[in-house]
Amino acid sequence: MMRNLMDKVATLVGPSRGSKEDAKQRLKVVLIHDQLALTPGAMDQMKAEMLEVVRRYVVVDEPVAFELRKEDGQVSIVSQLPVRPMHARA
Amino acid sequence: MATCIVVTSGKGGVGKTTTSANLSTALALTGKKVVVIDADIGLRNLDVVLGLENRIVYDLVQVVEGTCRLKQALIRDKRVEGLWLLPAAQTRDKSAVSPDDMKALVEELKEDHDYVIIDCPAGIEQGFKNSIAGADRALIVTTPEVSAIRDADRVVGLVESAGLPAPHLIINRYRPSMVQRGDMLDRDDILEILHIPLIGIIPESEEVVVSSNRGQPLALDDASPTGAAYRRIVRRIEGEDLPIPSFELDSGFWAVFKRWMGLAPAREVA
Repeated sequence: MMRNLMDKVATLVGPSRGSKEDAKQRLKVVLIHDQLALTPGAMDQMKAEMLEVVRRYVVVDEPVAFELRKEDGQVSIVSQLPVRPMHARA
Repeated sequence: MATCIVVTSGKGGVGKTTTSANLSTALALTGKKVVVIDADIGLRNLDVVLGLENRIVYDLVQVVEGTCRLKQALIRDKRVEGLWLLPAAQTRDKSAVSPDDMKALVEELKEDHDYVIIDCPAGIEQGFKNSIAGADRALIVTTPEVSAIRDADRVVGLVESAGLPAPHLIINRYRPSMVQRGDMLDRDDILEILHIPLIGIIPESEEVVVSSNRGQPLALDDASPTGAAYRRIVRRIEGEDLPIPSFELDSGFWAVFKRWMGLAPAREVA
């Protein structure tokens, strides 16, 4: 009861974000994986292999962004990799 | 020209049978001749939701196998003119019927009825394939939950690849108070994900449990808000351009405060 009330007060004062945003994000990701018939595990492997290829040619800095996006029914892999030359003149 | 509509969802327990029972009843109330088929062979349920379980003599499998004539298996609902049920078999399994059997059955039923409604079983295997075989259009039932919407998305794809037009969506068990505080996906969230036209929203209601306890569809009850929501869906099925109400809550200070304190139930304004 007390706990319940505290939670309710917290929703009034603190920055609140309903769980529906979690639901929406998770659904979007899971539907893209379903559509591609690509498990999150396979996706991680693909990401690692792609990074490995890029790293043969340039140095990849953190943070690397790598995501699946769906626009107008078309799924795309969108990646942003900060890179610099292998033999940078410092 | 008769129309066959399949009510499907992928996921079980989202309200396909309740929806089928109420839409069939509401269609019959508008003066249409309607037959509703329970396609969930082995897990017969539409009969009890409609309150017709004591009158079953023959079933769908016996019709298909030629044990009885189609007319013998149809149960007439005595509460509303123009409504018949074709019950599922309880002791057989889905393999007893093929998609071609269903197509032939639906064609025969279309001769004497305006609407053939098919209550599809959960899943996407044989029972689903049988159910969509004879259908002209599909209604997808979902609840505002991740699992139900994921399955609905899958079924939308299967329905479309079977050559049916884009299905219409019914959002079931909608809870305006949860939507209002951001803890439930709202209609726009769901439509953004599923990309199919919405044909109705049924708010969560205790009435539904009571009506299934009694075998008395809410569409028969003039005083029921849920029944009214089903009757509105039927008008949209019939082609009427009827806006879908937003189920907003009373936003006055005291109403909000009382709900916040848990003192007053969420009140839906349709």
